[in-house]
Amino acid sequence: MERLDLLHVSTDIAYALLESGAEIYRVEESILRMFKAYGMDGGSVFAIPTFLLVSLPGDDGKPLTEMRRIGNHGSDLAKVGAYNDLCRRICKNAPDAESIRREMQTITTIPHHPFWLQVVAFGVVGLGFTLLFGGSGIDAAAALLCGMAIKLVLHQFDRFEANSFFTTICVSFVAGAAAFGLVQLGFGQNLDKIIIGVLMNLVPGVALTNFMRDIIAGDLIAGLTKLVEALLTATGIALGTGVALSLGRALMGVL
Amino acid sequence: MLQFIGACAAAFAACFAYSLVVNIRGLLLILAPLGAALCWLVYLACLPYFEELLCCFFATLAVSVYAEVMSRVNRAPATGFLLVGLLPLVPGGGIYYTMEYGINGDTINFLQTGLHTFGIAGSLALGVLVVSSIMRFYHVVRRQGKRGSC
Repeated sequence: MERLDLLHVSTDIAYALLESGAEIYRVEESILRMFKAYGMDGGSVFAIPTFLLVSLPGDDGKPLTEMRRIGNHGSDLAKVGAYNDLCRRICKNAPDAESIRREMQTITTIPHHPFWLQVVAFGVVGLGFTLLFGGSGIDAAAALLCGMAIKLVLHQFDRFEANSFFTTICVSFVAGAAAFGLVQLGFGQNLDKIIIGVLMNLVPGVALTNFMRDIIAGDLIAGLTKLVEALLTATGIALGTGVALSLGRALMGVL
Repeated sequence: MLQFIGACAAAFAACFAYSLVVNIRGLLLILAPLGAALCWLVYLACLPYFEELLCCFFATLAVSVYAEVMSRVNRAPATGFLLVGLLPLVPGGGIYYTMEYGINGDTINFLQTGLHTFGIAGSLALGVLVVSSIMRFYHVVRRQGKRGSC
């Protein structure tokens, strides 16, 4: 394969991996292994959750470099798995650029679960965790409703590409307000259990579990980026629900 | 015993739903939430004997080992198993109660709960750290055994 082709293809794969929420070391290792599989030395990759830089010396000795900025990154583990498989196959068979592109095309068509199922899933996460943390049956039902409500709100925010910190605050506000309202109406008793259950949907689990793996792998900046992300998300959750509860209590005091 | 099973079933159901949210597909849709059930089982089993932070640590160790084994068996990244399996331990409750004390102006409890929440997050990170360091070590040793493989 031409060096330029290899650079383009590998950058595209790295970008797709990062965007689907793969760990940093997986991205960097996959690309370096791909370079090795085509017998090209001297390539280099730098990735952090928001930025990607891939470089490879060209045939005439001049360096070829491609740089990408990464915006919002979600978690789509089906895609991470598929790209990971693809990298493995590339390392083994060293196919040409055309067939890699074709495979990448099929991976991008891997669907997400249908929207209604995701709404229900958000609800069931709330329901399950409310039960797990000691809520009663009726609390769990309230959490189911709140969970479904926050997925609907989250979907709207995603459509307008709002930044994630602001989204977290607003969505937690909705969760808190909905739970508070339901409890005031007599639907559910333990406000805290309901809110905690629902908020497990928003909690920064990805960042929290991944940041340590990145730091261990030596990707200090990537690890710190994720740590900050986790802290910001946690703060956002606390702010959003805090405002909802304070407002709710103040209103109830007036009424 | 029955309580144990009920709690683990709740953890399984919640994390099964979460697996749908992060688009896990196929057989992993069952295996990943099983890790969460295992996690909660270890946590509950440790709870009478150890401090809470230590229970979190042990549960994280169990899930990390489970994730590494499952990722070998299924040839899938360990991240998915970790992400779903550790979810029950992520201190959502801690964040909530910290906030609650904060808005009530109860500074002592606010600080105490906040630090405790940090502690839980720290013990999660530490558990992941231990297992993934050992795994990296193991990989390096094995790679030096047979060079040039993918």
